Amino acid sequence: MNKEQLWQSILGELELILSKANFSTWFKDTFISAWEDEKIVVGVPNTFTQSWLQNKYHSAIQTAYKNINGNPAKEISYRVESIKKSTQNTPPQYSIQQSPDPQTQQNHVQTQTKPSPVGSFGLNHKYRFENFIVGKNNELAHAAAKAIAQSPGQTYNPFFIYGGVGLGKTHLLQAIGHEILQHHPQLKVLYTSCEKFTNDFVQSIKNGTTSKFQSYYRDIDLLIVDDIQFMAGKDQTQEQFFHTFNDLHQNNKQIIISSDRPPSAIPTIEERLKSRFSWGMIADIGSPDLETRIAILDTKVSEKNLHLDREIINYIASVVQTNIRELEGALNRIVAHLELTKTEPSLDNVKTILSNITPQNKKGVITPRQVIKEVTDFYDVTIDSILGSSRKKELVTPRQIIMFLIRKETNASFPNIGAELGGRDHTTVMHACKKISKELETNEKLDAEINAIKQRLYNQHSS
Amino acid sequence: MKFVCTQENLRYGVSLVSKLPSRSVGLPILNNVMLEVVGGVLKVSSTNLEIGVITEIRGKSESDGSFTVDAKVFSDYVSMLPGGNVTLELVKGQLKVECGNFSTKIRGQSSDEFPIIPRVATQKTASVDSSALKECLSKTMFSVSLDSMRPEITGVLMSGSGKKVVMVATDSYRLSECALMLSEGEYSGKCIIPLRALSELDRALSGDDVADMYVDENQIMFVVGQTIIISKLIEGEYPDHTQIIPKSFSTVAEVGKNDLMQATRAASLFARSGIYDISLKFGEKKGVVEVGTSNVQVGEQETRLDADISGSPLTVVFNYKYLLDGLQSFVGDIVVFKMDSSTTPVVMKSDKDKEYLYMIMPIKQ
Repeated sequence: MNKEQLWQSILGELELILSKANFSTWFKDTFISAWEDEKIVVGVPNTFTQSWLQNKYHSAIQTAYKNINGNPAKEISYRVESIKKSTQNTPPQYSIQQSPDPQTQQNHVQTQTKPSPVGSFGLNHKYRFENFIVGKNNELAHAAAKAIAQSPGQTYNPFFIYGGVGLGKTHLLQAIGHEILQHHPQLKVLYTSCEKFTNDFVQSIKNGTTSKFQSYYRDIDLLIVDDIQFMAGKDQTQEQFFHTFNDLHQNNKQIIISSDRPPSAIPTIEERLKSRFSWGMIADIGSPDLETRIAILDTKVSEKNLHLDREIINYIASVVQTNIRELEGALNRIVAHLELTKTEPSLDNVKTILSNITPQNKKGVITPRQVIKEVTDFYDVTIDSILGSSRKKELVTPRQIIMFLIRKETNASFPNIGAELGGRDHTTVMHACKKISKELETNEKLDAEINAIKQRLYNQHSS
Repeated sequence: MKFVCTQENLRYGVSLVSKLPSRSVGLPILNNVMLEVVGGVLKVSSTNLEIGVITEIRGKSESDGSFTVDAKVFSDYVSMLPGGNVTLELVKGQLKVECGNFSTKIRGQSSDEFPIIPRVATQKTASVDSSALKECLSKTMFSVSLDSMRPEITGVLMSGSGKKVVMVATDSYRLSECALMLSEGEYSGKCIIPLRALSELDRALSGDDVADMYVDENQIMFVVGQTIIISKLIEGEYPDHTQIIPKSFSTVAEVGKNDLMQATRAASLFARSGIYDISLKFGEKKGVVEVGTSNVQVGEQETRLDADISGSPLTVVFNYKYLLDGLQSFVGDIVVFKMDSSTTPVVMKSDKDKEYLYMIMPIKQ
């Protein structure tokens, strides 16, 4: 048995007889520093522990020693020492001039890191400015991104991009990272997802390495955090991010953040974070218009070395409307299908292939009646009362949700919806739709409820 | 345990020890103060396992014994009592406190579990005049870094060479250095004292007592009158501050302290939040310092102050908080700025205060 094993088994015995708080307070960072001839010297972190062990736990340690070793200890003494590992690390030498300002800090970082090959820092080669298609929907975001890539930390800091799924947020974020690395290879760039940040933080708490975590995230020149909305509800992570943000911002380091909605609409995120996100530049990326979608398809097609008729491209672009990722998916589907069946692409082929995924088909089948039925079932109110004139609160919300859903899912006209709901005025319907849309931005519960209703609607329809 | 003392003595003694206990520890008894009647005096003590404070209170001891009660409750209650004699008595596991027509019973914990505050074994190292030490602390403590990632600068460096002791504090953006003469004994060596221990010491320093220092390898102990403060020392290597202090200067300016403080406060309203920058233009117009700042959102501001400037004109951008902290710490009406360029540390001194030096790292543009 060596010193470490002996001490571990003594601790094992003591842990059983002491309360948890006492055990962890007094035996943390203790070890045996010398053991020979039945004499042991216990290393303790400070004099408080020294006097406490001497006066309170001396006999317990003696008993444990005897139990484990067979022979009683001749002498047990206590000495203030730090564990070897930490004493071997000579403390880093600091000088006051190294950190006070951004200028010198950059030099300091430069000496530490060799210029790393492009492609590290969590960036994907695929996403560059050259293959980013600019349309009306993303002009502003693109221009701001370009400006930031030219002079990081100077123009818009922080830069906040928001937009729906699959519209190119990640592409733009990573393009900035690549561009900056190209112009300033000495800068340290870090692209991370919100999830990775959270995981790293949790891990660092678990391993007790929070200071390492902090220096990792603070010793960089460009921090890109994707999908920040996932930080909602994670208070500790938010706090950590808040401090990281402040530290970087104070040192004029560029911060770029993306989310699926504007800062003010992210629920359960601390006010002080929201206000900081809104500090620099906020740009949104909207759905691409038809021309942009065609341009995107054109690039993708030439990237894949394919030849597709203009007609076909126009058709795909007109069918898949909201999401660039789906647009690419549709294209991939067509390519795969054509390759597998070894057929030449034609408009008819493409129509059949895409018929399964075009959302229009789904929408046509939902009727206002179905919506009314599902919503009244969901909220457990009768159809009659919904169609009636009562303005009780428990009826008003479902009624407004019905109007909203009919409008969204069937594209019925406002007067039409009014008529379906017992002859209400079209302005009532407009108000309801506006109110629910607005509420959806902030009310998570409502969002969940409406999604549940939608699911019921479509499940019932397909079964 | 039974003890009688005046409310004033008790309140003063308890106020010295009751700030140390912290709420966030695994051991609840650390929130408490220990009251111990032994040898005819009442000892009150508290600790956070890094620092311990013990003070003695005069009074009439009737029977020995000890107990612990919640620090905040006890000190708040004691400060609310009317003057006169206070009787403390341990009755059935509760502390009975009686004073005038006030009477209370405070629940607490037995003192068996209360940590033993270790004493520093060595002989007395040196003594120093209380008021000089207090002044020196007030000039250094505000510069101490709160950044736990660099523990070695979260305390004040005390480096001694015989009779003279120099206290240094920095947060790597600014630095204070204050020298002090020991009144008795000598100290040669270096140690880093945690900020927390010094604020406890600062509280205990009063009047014209002499403070005794006991320094050993890991610990330091101060004895001021009836109060003892024991703290562990911070391990690590303090940055070598002497090499950072510039030796040659191209511009030297003497400015009225109060006018400059006024101007700095005015300019601070226009400084960019998060950067806190204000600029001082020395000698661009002859014999004038222009203190100003501009902010796109708020506006701009400029104050012109007369000054005695020698050397080449120079513009330096400061963090106004650091500048104000420094100005406030000087005695005397004139502050001397010594600068070499807009990117090297700026040294501030006072004609009245030869042993004190304050230095700020300017903000680079």
